[in-house]
This record gives sequence, structure tokens and C-alpha cells, in this order.
Amino acid sequence: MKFSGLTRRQALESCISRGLLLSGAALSQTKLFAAWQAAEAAAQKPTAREVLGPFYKKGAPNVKQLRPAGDPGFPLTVAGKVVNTKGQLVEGVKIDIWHSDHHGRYDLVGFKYRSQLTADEKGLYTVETILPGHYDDRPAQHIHYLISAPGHKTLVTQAYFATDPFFEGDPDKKFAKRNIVHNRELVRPVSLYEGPGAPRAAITFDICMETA
Amino acid sequence: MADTPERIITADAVVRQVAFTPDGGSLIGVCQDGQVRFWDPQSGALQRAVPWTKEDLRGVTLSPDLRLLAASGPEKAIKVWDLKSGEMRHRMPALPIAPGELAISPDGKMLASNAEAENTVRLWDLAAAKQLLTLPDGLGDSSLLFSPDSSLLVGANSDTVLRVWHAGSGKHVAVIDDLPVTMFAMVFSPDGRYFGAAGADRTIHVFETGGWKKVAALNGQPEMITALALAPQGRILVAGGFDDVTVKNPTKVLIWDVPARSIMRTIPARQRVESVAISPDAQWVAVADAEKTVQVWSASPKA
Ligand SMILES: [Fe+2]
Repeated sequence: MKFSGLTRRQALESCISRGLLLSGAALSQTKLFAAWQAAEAAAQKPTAREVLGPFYKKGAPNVKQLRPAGDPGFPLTVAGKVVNTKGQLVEGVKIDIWHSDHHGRYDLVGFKYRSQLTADEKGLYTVETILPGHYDDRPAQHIHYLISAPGHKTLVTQAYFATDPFFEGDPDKKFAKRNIVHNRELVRPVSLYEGPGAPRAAITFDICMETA
Repeated sequence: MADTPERIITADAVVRQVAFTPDGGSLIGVCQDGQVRFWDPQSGALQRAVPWTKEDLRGVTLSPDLRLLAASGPEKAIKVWDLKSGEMRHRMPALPIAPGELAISPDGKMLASNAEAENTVRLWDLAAAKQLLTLPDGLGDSSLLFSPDSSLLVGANSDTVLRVWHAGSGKHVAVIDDLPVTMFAMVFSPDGRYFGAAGADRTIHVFETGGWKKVAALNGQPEMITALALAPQGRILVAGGFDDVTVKNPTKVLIWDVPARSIMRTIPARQRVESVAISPDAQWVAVADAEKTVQVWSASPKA
């Protein structure tokens, strides 16, 4: 058991650093263990980083519907929860997302497929958009993220799609192909379902930020 | 006639950077296969090829005086070669992350490097192979360029911000954060009074360097701009780029009359343009494309 490898002082420090205990005041071994277990369960691994890429654009509006009527792209819902490594909700988080159209082209004139989202009181965000296309420099479909919040390290990352032909049906084995994707966890499972009038796709992309 | 180059030079490898020697006698191509090739710009004949590295190149740059070549590769150490002999002159200590972009100061004394994941720019003393300063940088990859008098260093990040540092102190001279998108290419006028940056919005933004205020925007490039070159007299500016969906699409290279702020000539490129150069007499423009060729064009349209 991991706990047995920790000294009492280490366990206390671990709990205090996660904001679970205010100080190492007299605590029974059982209570300390319970507090440590709770902290361990709540603690999260920070989301892996990816490159920012050349096509970021400042000033995107906060829009949850990025898919205009009649868009030829495959409808996609992206949703997730934002927490920090202590398992806490992140106040004032701003989630910049941007991706290409279904041909792989970014809008650099306007803000098509670009939004600066916020999270709700439960830490959840959601956006309606389309599956991005492929382009030469990064031949795997992806959505860019730039996430910032007071008191937290700015996180730059990307979400990928397990259904992408780039992964040849086997993202476990093929995710690192051509050195495009650096982390398997960023390749998200895709739910495909029958929506009103057309098939739709959905992914969840949870975000875990490091405190600054 | 109008749309054919004077010469097409086959390079056998992608040419990352082209430059005319100050005497106009050679066209230099820094090739991805680790060779520097020298061609006669008049005949297109290969004068010599200097092998210098076998590494898979990441960042690569020529010094403005064309005496040195710096490159970074998988060994995560920046190495500097003498361009004439191909001998390695300096080797910086290895870094945690392989540097991406590099720049050598015109006085040949400093080297700047960055690594995207570190969000820092490092400034090196070239001869001592020692780091002088670590400058906090913005997010994302950035292009780096020194001013002609070597006093300033400019970094253009993919967070769309331009940062201007005093190279001696590392202090900010200016932070330009009102550009809409990322700048991929930068250029200074020979007297250092003007600075141009161009990128994803297909526009060349011109600043005066006294107060770093924008004084002009040159529009007309059909593609994103990744390569800029200014003639030594500062009157002619060449810009090339890439189609953002596929680098295989043809592109246009624009030749600007700078004082008139008008397009002198538009020349076709077969695909992504890696680098552009103007001869010292401003008569010739060299365009290196992703198809492993260098094309030499007349700068002014033929009568
Ligand atoms: Fe991208």
C-alpha cells in the first residue's frame, strides 16, 4: 500500500499541501490515513501539454454554438470538466478553443470555429461544433486549447479523436505515429449516435490545471 | 515569358535558407541534408558543397554576414560552423529541450535560441559558448531576429505577441500585443529604423522602431507569409509563404517597391516557399521552395 511507504510527516505534508488540513495538529493515524486517502482520490494528474500551433487568434467571443446551420462538417459536441490538481473547481477559467473547418482550413479573418468558453458553477463546459479536417503539417484531426485561470499555470493542449483514420483503428499502438501526437490520453474516445436528422459525434475532454 | 524564372537550380534537398553573398558571386543554400551548397547565380552551376552535419536539423540560421551557420538538432545542443570550411567552431552546452528557432546577431557575438515548451528565449555569447541571459518568452514557438546594430532582439510568438528586448540588459523595449494573429517572418530595414513582420494574416505590418508604432500595412499576399527579404538598400521587399491547407498548392511570391508601397512583380512558386533572398544589386530574387529547387527571377518585370 502506497500510504505505508510514507512517513507520518510526509503524509501530513501531502494533505496540507493539498489544502485538506490546515496544520499537522494532533491527529490519530486513522484520521490521517482517511484524510490522505481522500486527498489522493481527489488529486488529479495535470492534462498533458501540446504545442500551441501557428493559428491561434486572440479575442474569440464566448460562443457555445460554433456550427452554423447547413455546415457540411460532421456535427460534434465537446464537453468536459475543469479542475485543478487538488481536485478543486477552477475559478475564472477561460477556455480558448479553436480548430479547422472540415477541409483543414483555419479562419484567420474572423472567428469561425473559435470560442473563448467559460465553465459553469459545476466546472463544466460544452461547445457544439464539427469534426475538424486534416491538414499537411498536422495530419491528425485536432482541437486546440489554451486554458488560463488566476492562480494557475496556463495550459496549452490539443484534443484528438480515436476515430481519426490517422490512428488506423488502433490509437493505442498508432498514436505516436510520425511524432504528431505526444500523449495517448489526449486521443479521446468518440461516441457516435443518431442525432436529429443526422449522425453526430461527441467527445469529453476533461481539463486538469496545475496551480501556479 | 513573364512567368518563367531566369534559372531553376535543383538542390537535391530542401533548401531551408537562401542568401546571396555580398559580392553577388554566389547563391548560398542551406540544405536539409546537412550540406551548404554554393551556386553561381548567373549560370546556376554548383560551385561547391560543404558538408557540415549529419544530424536531423531543427532550427538553422545563417549569420547576417554569412560567415557562420548555427543549427540545433536531436542532440539538443546548438552548434555553430564556419561556412567556408565546414568546420565546427562553437558548441553550446546541451539543453533540456532541443531549441527550435535560432538567430545570430549581425556583429557575430550573440546567438539567440528558444524552445517552445520552455517559454523562454536564451541569449548566448557565441565565442565563449556561454549563456548570457534567459528571457521570459510568451506561449508557443517564436521566430527570432536581431536588429542590424545587434542592440535589439525581437521574438514573435504564436501567442500573437511581438516582444522586443534590449539584447544587453534583457529588458523589454516594447511588447506589441495588438496583432491579430501569429507573425512567422520578420525583417529590419538596413538602418534599423523600420521593422516588418508578416504571418498568418497575409499582411506585412511595418513599424518604426523609435516608438514601435505601426506605420504601414502591406496587403495583397494571397497566402500566409513565412519568408521575407529586404534588398540591402531597403527599397525592395520580397515575401513568400504557403497555402495553409496543403503546402503542395502553388503560391505567389510578391516583390514590393517599398517607398511606393506597391507591388512591383508577382511571381509564381510551385508550392510552399521556404526562403527568399535578393541579390546585393537588387536585380535578382531567389526563391527556395519545398520541391528542392531554387528559382532565380528578375526582380523587375521584363519589358
Ligand atoms: Fe492545428
